[in-house]
Amino acid sequence: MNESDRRLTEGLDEAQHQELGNLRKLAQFLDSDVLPDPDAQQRARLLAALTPYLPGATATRPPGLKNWLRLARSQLVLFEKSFWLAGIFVLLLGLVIVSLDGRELLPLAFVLFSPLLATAGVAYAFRPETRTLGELERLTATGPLELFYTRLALVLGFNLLVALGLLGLIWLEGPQVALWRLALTWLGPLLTLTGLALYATIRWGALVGLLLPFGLWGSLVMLGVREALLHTAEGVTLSTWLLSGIDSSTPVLIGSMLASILGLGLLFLSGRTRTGAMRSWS
Amino acid sequence: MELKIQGVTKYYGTRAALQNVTLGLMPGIIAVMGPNGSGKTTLLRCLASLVQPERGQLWFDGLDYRRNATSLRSRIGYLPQELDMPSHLTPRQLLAYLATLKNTPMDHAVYPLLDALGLETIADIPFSRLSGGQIRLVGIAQAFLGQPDLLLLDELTRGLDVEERARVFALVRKPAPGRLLLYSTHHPADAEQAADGVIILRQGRVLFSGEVAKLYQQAQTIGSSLVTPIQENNPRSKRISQENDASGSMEARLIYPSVSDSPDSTIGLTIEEAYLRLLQKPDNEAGNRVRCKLASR
Amino acid sequence: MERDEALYHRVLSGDRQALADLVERYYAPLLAFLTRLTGQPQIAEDLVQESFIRMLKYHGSAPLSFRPWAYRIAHNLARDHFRSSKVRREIASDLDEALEDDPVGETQDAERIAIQADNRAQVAALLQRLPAHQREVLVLRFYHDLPLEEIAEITGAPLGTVKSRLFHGLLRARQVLELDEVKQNERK
Repeated sequence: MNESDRRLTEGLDEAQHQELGNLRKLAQFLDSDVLPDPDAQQRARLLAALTPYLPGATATRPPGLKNWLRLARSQLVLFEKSFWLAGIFVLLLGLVIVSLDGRELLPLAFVLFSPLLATAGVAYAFRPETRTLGELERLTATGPLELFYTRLALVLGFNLLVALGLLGLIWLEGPQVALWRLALTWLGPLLTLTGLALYATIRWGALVGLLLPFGLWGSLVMLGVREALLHTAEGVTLSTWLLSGIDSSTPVLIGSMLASILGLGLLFLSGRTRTGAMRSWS
Repeated sequence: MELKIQGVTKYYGTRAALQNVTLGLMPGIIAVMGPNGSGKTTLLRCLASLVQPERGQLWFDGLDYRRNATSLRSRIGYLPQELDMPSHLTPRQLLAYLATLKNTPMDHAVYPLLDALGLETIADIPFSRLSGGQIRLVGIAQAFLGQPDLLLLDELTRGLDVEERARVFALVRKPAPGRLLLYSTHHPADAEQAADGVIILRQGRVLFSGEVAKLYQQAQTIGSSLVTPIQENNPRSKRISQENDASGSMEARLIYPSVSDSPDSTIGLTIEEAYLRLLQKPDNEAGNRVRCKLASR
Repeated sequence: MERDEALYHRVLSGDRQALADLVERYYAPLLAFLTRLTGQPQIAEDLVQESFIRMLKYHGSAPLSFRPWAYRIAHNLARDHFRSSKVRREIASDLDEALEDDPVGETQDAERIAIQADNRAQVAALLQRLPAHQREVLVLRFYHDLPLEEIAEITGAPLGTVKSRLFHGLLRARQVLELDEVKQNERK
């Protein structure tokens, strides 16, 4: 039996061999069909088409800074220009305040209004305005928790940049208050209000997400102002009284640290609530 | 990659949107039809893992939805019934964003889709300035991103003009071995455009499932149609399904309740007529517990 | 030479060179297999690409033996492609079903073989004259020199059935070829 015959009949029984008889002509005929191998161009084209599916290279990216930055960069398009302009506006406002009377007013404005900017940013970024997009985001290789925290980090990160800008201006003015105390006092309300805004937005929508923290903060500020006004009767200005409290009061510092912890808890709870709602099946 | 649906029931309040649906689907293209409220959208949303049924189970490619929803989701492409896109985004931005989330490169995936659906000219115009049909095309494009194994397209042709429909069906019909594509539509003629098989739902139950040819066969046993001059008063007819101007005279297409009632000169049903006849089947004839492998031998 | 299983394992780890090597090893044979199976080179190209994509997207446990697994993926994709009734409508004549009742030589295709000059086209035409399940076994046996046990694994059929399909496929192919020769001689 020659090679071609072997390739045709190997594995068949003896009886089948006999019945088939001489298959040389068939083998020769079939052998005449020589399909050309794919050329280099075809191979390169196939490889290019397959590379995106290479595990680890694309479909399942390992967690890491590079992946996180890529994800963060992709989410920038979701924020309208007005979001970024609001932050820049606040910075410019800070500059204006500095030019008028920055020494006392700016730190005060920083502590009072900067958390509100972050709150508004969070309510905007996580608004359920587009349910469609949320659903489409779920049907991707990117986990919902990863997406959630990346977006949150973007919002908070932008606000941090604005805050650093304002702190820089305060420092340039020659601060009335220790910057680290100012920063810590700012951080507590920032995290609490942001956490509250995020949780409320996810549970009840953007409007509640705005009104609840704004209302709470407004009430606290009014209480603080009332307390301060009692002392201004002694000849101390409102801003001086508030700033001295930030600079020297231990309860204020502790309170702010506790508020930071509460805020982080609310942010964590928001993440679980959001991804829990997104995970219909698991 | 088989999709198995076993006894799926989904309630919205006290209303059963899906009732004990059982199907087995092989790779191919399936049209899902049914009147409003029949459960088409609910079925597709269950298959997209966006809603969880109260009862029943779903498997895709051997993976149980309950335990593997997260990994399955990355293999699903979905076109929602309602498309509510961020108004400031452009189609290119949206597709690029979703391509990133799906780990699919832009040049490999996004540009060919923009091309196939004729979206290049509007790719950089914000959604706020696009028509409903144009937004739908973008929705279709994003569903195809990353070559998903399971494509679920709800109301595929809603708001599309003739040219847009042609482009969409060309994309749907493009060979994709091993992929299962389900699209829902209100227009039976859409089923003929691309579908290997058809599922008809009514009140949350499966009324029919099978190949398009089988749909005709089943409907033929229920009735037939006749083209007749409209001047004739034919009391035995039940319904006029269409009227055509032909050679200066008006013609009526009449559906007879049974084959025996119809005159000798009858012609076959159109798909719309077949669909309508099947919808008229009494409830106890509805094939609810249908185990049917569509697009397979 | 590195075993296919180890190579595939490296591919799953994201090794681009391993992917290039895998393509080098399996592109040509899978393309040839699918071209002969489908008779349509363009479809075969699409199916080959899809086969590789499936290998890359595979989520289960790694195959113990890579070669039959790879061919099985290609085989199943071709089967799914032809099961689509849309494809069946597009094929001018459904040769597989027609051949169930059609004795060799009774249709126009035998004549078509006789008048085609190109060797490859002639062979392709003969292969398309075989029912799909016979064609695939013959192609895998003759052109890819795979043992019948492996062919059984690829096609999902028992070994006995594979033997039977090979036997009947060879019988039919021989008959078609002989008839073709007779017709050619008659024309002369």
